[in-house]
Amino acid sequence: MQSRRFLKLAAVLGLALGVAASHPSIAQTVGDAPVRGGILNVNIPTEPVGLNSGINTTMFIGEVASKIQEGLIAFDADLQPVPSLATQWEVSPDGLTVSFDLRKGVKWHDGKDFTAADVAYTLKEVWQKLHPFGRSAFGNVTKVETPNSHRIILTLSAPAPYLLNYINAYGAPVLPRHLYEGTDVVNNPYNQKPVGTGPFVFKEWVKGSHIRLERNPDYWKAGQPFLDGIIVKFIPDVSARVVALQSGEVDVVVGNALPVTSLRQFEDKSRYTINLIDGNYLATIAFAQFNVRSAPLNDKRVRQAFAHAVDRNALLKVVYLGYGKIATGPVPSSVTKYYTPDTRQYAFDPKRAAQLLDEAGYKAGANGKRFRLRLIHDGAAGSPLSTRTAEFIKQALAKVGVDVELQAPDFATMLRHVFTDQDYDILVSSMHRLPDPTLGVQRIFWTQNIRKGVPWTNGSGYSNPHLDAIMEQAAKEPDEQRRKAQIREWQQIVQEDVPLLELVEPVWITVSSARFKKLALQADGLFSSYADAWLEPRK
Amino acid sequence: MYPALLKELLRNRSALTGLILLALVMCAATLGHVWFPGDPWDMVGTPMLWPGEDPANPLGTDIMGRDMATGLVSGAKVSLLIGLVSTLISAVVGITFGALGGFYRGWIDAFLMRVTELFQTVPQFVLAVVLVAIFKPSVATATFAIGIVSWPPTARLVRSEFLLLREREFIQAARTLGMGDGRLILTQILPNALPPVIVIAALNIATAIQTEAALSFLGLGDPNVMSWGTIIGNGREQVVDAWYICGLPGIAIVIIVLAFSLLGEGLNDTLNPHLKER
Repeated sequence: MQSRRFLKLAAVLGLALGVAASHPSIAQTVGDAPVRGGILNVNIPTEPVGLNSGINTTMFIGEVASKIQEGLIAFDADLQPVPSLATQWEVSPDGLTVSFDLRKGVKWHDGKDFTAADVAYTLKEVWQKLHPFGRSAFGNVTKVETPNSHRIILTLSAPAPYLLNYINAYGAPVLPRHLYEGTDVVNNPYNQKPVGTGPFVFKEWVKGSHIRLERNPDYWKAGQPFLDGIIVKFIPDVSARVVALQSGEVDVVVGNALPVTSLRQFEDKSRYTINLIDGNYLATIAFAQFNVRSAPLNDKRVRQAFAHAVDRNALLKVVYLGYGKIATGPVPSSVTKYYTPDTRQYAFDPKRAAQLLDEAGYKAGANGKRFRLRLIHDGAAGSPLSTRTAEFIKQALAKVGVDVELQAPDFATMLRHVFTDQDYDILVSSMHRLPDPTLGVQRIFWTQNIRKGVPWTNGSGYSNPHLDAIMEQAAKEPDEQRRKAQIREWQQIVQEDVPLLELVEPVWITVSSARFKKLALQADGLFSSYADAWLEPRK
Repeated sequence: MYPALLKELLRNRSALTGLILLALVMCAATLGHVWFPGDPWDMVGTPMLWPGEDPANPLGTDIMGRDMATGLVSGAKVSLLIGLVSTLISAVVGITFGALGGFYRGWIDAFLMRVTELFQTVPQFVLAVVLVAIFKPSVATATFAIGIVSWPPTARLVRSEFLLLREREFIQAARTLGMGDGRLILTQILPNALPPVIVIAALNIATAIQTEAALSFLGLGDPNVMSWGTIIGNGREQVVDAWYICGLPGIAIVIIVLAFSLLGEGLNDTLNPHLKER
């Protein structure tokens, strides 16, 4: 009976995901009759260390700070930029000047006026200097001008077409200059009690328990926010989170805090909503990365054979329980502007895999084994999906005569093995690809990004001068059509050489009470301001 | 002496129960693969089949469709192996420290006992976690780590036995006859000090098996070996939907720990002269 339930679920999921592009959860979460009042209880998995996304990109920080602080733009459900603190923006035809018109009449939570000087300060002192991604995103900005208090003009040394794909409340939050200027930004006390322009005002933080936010009565968007306040609760234990949502102690659980295996308990659409698009902005892909520096993985045919040996459909079904999509290349399908499925694809075909391995000269020995490899993964660091993916790959490769030894050290040791000692064969993990390939994908394949000791750089050691040239060109190509073509070619080269076997695009899952509604869903919903969110009255 | 001991053991109810349970587990570990052959990691069925739902997987399958029975059999082997070998390690280290300290006394004893105290003051499980994390998690490192953290009680016990025995007349006699230190320790004192060590070893095995399960549960087990702790750790997310994934290996751990505890208690009853009258 249990298995039938499982199959039914799989079928329902299959249908739902088949139309994932049209966002099945929209109809459920999006409402048009907002209700004023009420406190929303939100659960995030882990307590953040501070509340300033400008200096630390840990997701838990962004998940809270985005209610208090805002970026210049936000994203809609299709990752298209929509106004936030900037009302409109313009990129000059040569791509070397970007100007923003800022919203007028916006006040910081402490009553001071928000002006272009705040944006200029944050860009120069925080995003460019302290933000992990911002350093490259704003790397080309050479001059920042503020002709009047509500206009800002950036001059670039080379075009940065990716800029507009990034600057939301999580990627580039605007900080109040009057509280930060002249201080040590990293240790500024306001990182713990943030002052922003957002719909909610920071009220209190009880360490180990919760953060309380209150409605900002002077919010620039008239009538919003609808809620009276938000309480963000930290619940470290998975089972406790499940119970908290079931009992109504929390209304929303964000950021994959509930494991896919528990979602069966939230199938009832009249009581719960499962939203699968909140993390499209992060555009995560789970992968198996090959260390291409030494034999046998330095041979392209061996890597292609592995791609044929792993049944990613079964992986998606068994490990991810269908919550995701098969990845077809290094750029995830949610990055609709640049994604192409028109690349070399590796269908599940163990025979072809064996043939490729034979061709590469790795014939099976008397015991049916060809060679032995080590597979390291971040499962012990709290990613049960990585553990299961690694176990799945081990079984798949065993079927083509490759013996895999699993290694599951702690997170720091894993990073050291892969990025410092470069002493590993296969890495199973996942990486955010971000809305723009230049920001999120280039780092994985670029020769200049083979940087010993720096995590999440080019850890495979793959180097292809031709691809390097294309990626560098795409990074400063002002013409959108040409840039698309370059990024398409980039995807084709990578899929041919497979330094990484892209496995699955997992979805970021937000589970909420069916009472939780919003006016619109966002592809960066993990970092939504919740200004347009409300709770329907209990029936 | 030994046939007599066995006879007495069999007459002791708790020892007998322990031995029967142990025999069952041994059977599963050594012969289990005849009934449940194959790789415990192979995904052979529909995921999360309940026990009894499909005769092909009599004890059901886990979240990835791996056969529970095959996994449990594999786990029995791992648990017994780690329990026995790590206890052997702890017994050897403990006896060496205790014997040398108790026999020579003085500064040797002081030094060895300070080392023992060093290990005793650190919580056992935390030290095991640290050791396994420093080295690569594997059956060998887990066995070594568990052995290394569990010897101090044995050392203390052996030392106290040695302190008592070295003053006894038969030892004095042997010494007068010109017997060397090594022979004295190994052939005269140690055999007489062993009974309580055997009791503590049996209990140590039970603790070692629990420690291994706890390490695997935390993801610090050998990722290439299916142990009971691994199954429980993998299954805890689904404990509401499929409690049997955690439940079955949990029951297995209870059985084997119970077996060794009962056996240890029975041994204590038969070997301890103070309890003879009970």
